[in-house]
Amino acid sequence: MTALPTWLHRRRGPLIAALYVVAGFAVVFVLVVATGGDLGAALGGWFTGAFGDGYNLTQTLSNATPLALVAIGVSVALRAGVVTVGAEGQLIVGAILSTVVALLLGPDASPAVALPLGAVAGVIGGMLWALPAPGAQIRWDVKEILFTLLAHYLAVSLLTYLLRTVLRDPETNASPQSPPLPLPSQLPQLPVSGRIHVGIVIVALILLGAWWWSRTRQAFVLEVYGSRPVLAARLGLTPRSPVLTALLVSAAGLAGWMQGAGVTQRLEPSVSGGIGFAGLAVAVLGRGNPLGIALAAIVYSALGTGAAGVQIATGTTPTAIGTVTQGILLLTAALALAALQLSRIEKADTIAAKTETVPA
Amino acid sequence: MTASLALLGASKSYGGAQVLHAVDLAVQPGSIHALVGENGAGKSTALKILAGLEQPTAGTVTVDGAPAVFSGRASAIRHGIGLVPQQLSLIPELTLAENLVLGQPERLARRRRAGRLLREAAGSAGLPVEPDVRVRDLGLAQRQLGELAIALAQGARILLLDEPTSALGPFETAALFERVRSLAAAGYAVLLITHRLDEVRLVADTVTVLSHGRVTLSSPVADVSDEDLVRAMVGSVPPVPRREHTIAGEARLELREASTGSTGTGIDGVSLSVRGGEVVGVLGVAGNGQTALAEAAAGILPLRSGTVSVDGATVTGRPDRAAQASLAYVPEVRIDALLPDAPLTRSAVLRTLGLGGRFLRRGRIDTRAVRRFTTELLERHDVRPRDPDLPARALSGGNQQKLLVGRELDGAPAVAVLHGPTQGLDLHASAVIRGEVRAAAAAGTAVLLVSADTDEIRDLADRILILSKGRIVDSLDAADFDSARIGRGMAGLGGEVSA
Amino acid sequence: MSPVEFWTVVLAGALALCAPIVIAGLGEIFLERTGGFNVGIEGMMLVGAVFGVLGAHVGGVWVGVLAGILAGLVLGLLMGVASAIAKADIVIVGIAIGLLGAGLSVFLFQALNPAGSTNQTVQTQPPLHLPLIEGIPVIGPGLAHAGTFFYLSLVLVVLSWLVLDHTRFGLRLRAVGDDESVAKTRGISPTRFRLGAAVIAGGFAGLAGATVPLASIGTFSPGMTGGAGFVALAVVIIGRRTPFGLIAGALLFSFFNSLALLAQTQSLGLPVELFQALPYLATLVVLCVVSRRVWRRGRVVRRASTSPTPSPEPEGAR
Repeated sequence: MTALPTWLHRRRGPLIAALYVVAGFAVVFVLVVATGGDLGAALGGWFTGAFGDGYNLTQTLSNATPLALVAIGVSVALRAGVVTVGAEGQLIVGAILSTVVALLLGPDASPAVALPLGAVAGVIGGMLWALPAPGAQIRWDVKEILFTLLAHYLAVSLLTYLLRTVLRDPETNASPQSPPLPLPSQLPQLPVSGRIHVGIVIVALILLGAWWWSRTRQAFVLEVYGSRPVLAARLGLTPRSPVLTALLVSAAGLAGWMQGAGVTQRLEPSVSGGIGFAGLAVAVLGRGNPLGIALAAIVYSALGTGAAGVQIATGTTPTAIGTVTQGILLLTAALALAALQLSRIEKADTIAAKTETVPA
Repeated sequence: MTASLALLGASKSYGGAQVLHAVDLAVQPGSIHALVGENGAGKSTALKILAGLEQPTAGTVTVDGAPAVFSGRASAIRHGIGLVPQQLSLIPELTLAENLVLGQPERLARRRRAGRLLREAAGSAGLPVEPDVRVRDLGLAQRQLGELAIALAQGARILLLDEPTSALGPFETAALFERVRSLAAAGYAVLLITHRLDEVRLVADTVTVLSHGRVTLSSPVADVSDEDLVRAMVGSVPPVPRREHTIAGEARLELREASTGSTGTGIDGVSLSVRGGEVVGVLGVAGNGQTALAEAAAGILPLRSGTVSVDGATVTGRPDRAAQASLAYVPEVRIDALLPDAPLTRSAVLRTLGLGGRFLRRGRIDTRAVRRFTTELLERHDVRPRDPDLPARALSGGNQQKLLVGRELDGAPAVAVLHGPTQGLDLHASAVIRGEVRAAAAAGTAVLLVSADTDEIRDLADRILILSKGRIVDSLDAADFDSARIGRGMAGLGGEVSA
Repeated sequence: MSPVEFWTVVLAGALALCAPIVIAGLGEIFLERTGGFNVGIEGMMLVGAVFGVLGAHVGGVWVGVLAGILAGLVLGLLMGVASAIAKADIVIVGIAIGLLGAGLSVFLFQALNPAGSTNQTVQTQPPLHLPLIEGIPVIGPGLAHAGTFFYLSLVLVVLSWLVLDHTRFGLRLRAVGDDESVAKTRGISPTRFRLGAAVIAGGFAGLAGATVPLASIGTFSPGMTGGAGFVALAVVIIGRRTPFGLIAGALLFSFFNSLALLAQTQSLGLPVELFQALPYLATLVVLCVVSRRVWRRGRVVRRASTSPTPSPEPEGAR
């Protein structure tokens, strides 16, 4: 390593990070080519599939909305050093609760009442589901992520049960789903081609709010908690509170409401779709800041919607290339970030050694 | 006579800092050689080179007169160099026998054979060992003997002992030295690293003194006086002004019957009070409850019973209340009180952010005010480099401490709890810190100084409390300082006193 | 169905189902002993499953098993390099590999089975005839029909125990997880062992994944491991991160899982979803009970003593 010219050596961190990104792209391209796809056609197909005509663009943005929302909640937890994948369960329970509220309110309620109530129900549902995992960690030392992974299956069972019995749509006999939500409880669609609901505006507003919050003292203290819990305690944040509060910011529950009220207009078994991991991925890619999250959500979602376009354009490359790319993207991002951090630490240690008069 | 182990003109640099300058050192077979120096003089670097953990940047290591290059610890072991490190190097989860297996060349873990080897090696040196007990269930002295037994079982003829008595009481120290003497008599070459001159007199045949990485003295022990040794170690020390202010008023910090849970190194029924302007020193051998006491006094550690109060307000186990009551705390591990990878602007405001609205503007953090404060803090306390955007990790230990102490003592807090504030610092930084402590006391702060360093306590404290096994066993005025009395207290003898 | 018949069937199901969990769990034990945690275990298993089917297509069931192992080793290596050498957060790397593995398994499946072509079945595990055991009441039939892979997993359990407890490698591995800085001073490289443990974990996960289609079904379907990987993570902790404890935990889960499967065909009075939730619920409950004891070690004794023979630390929390 000392053989490298100095200017290269000094920028080692960013260079290695860039190398990871390039390697990630390379792997994806190899996969496309290996399945017989022409690279140019594939890229074109991807772009069309993700952003092509109005319909595709809308779909990408619509998929990005719950991702961004969930990612905001996750990034608050990440600030405190808590890696959480519980979004899926929270989304399911949030969706269930808001569906129940919507069905109870019926078709005669005023939208001005029904929509906020639905949203609140979603958040509460998510919060209730988010409680046990950190509680179990505090009380019984159960790894929160493990608890969440197992509890997810409980949520799925609950959903299946409810859709089969209490919340079943009496009209259909096919796949289990709830009756359609009464009109007042449905989120209005935006007047563009394709289906996208008002929720995207709500999420944009929440992103702005998150950006404002990130400059407050609370955000600072939460971040301190991530590396120095005792110092955070001095600043008023005791051990029990941040784990709980961080996870109770149940953006995922709100996303559950949105899925039901905006996207599907009813409760379906596929309401969550892997958003636990995806939300975390977007939070990591977005580096915890709202603008980053918005961009990352769009890119991440575009990888999914674009995949269909790739398949159409190449004819041979499977649509699963989308999921594969998402995984590779997260991996390269994690590696690149680690490389940057390592080089920062090295630089800092060198500076310290220079002024050190005491051997370590 | 050919030395068993020697350094010839060894120098060592880390990056831009040169830590050893052409050091010559020789350990003869059948003798005990003491390597002495203040904290930071280069002793541990020299040790690391001799043990094979580091390579010298210049000079050579010789074994039995022939130059030797160690590719690592394993190769040094093959040359017969055994090491009993200061930070004990045993895996707690495993037994002594299993720990021996860790280093052996065979792939199969034959516990019984390892146990037998240990018993034989230890037996021939008169050491009692229990090879099949998990290390974490052993007492500290036993672990050290275990380390020694392992070194012998690995075939060491040369023993390097790094500050072996730092956590031992007088009984164990005497016992250890007796065994070391018998090992030397049996022909082993022993290098003893210490910063305690009384130990040198007690057990060493020859001594080398390091100061600032250079050899300042090398001689048979019988030929030098204690003064020669001190002068060789320390050179000149900047004088520290003595207290001039008067202590008055009520107690600002009070502990009443403070007890933690029963696990290990806690405190038991500790009561003490510190008045404004007073410096109360708590002295004790490491591992007797210092950390528990410091953390309890700082309101960080919850107590099983008893209370802690600052200016009358109860802060037991409530760090937020302690901060509100203007309590400052400098922990033993200083990086624990700083954010290693965040810019210094963040570390600088960790005590005061938000208190009474400081650094806040309309609910959000006023980054300009924070930056101004940080730059000023770095300036005032001579922290180098003076860049507020550097991460705390980029500061050397001494500079970190200057920043930390500066941040905590800023604005004359009501109470300051300091745990080993000059530990591991060079003399200059140490003098600066001590000056700050005095200044804080002069401004009315009640200072509780917890330390294992007798010199530090002697220098700063107005009143001295002795902590042993979690209890205050003695209390005396600084003016009545008496080494024998203090030694007895630290060994756990003498009656209990509340102060 | 009589009660005896009922429980016999349930137990038989439990034994037949637990192999993937046990095998994946063994690999995870090696990794967790060095301080790691493989959230991507499910993705590795899926890749193992698809390669298992592909390999079996080419050369029979054991080639399939080998292919699954190799695929797992590669992903394990990837995780090891990313976390131990590049020092990326192992949980995030795990999630990435999980996504990648799941996507890759579907990718390969779709690429080699474009829509419209039939899904060929491949050779599955060789049948095992144990007529002597079959006679034992209640558990006999289960043990007799548990299959080659079940007994393979038992063999692996014993091997793992031998390595972890009776080789220098195993002790060094445990040292790295117990006290990294001390291990370093003893010349044990935490990086190398973490990397090695990740590769081992990947290999086991790949093997476990391959046994899922190759046990009896003979085809791959997306997501077919159904969370077995995550269950393995939980069961490792329930089993106190020891190979023999792992079997107990895996059987616990499989028992309830088997019960749930039976509930789907027989009406058992309670909603079928409750039975489906039961294995996860039971695992969660046991996790809550035992987790504390797994993570808490006895406090390191740093007490000096005043007598030559001090007493050991009274709190023996293990």
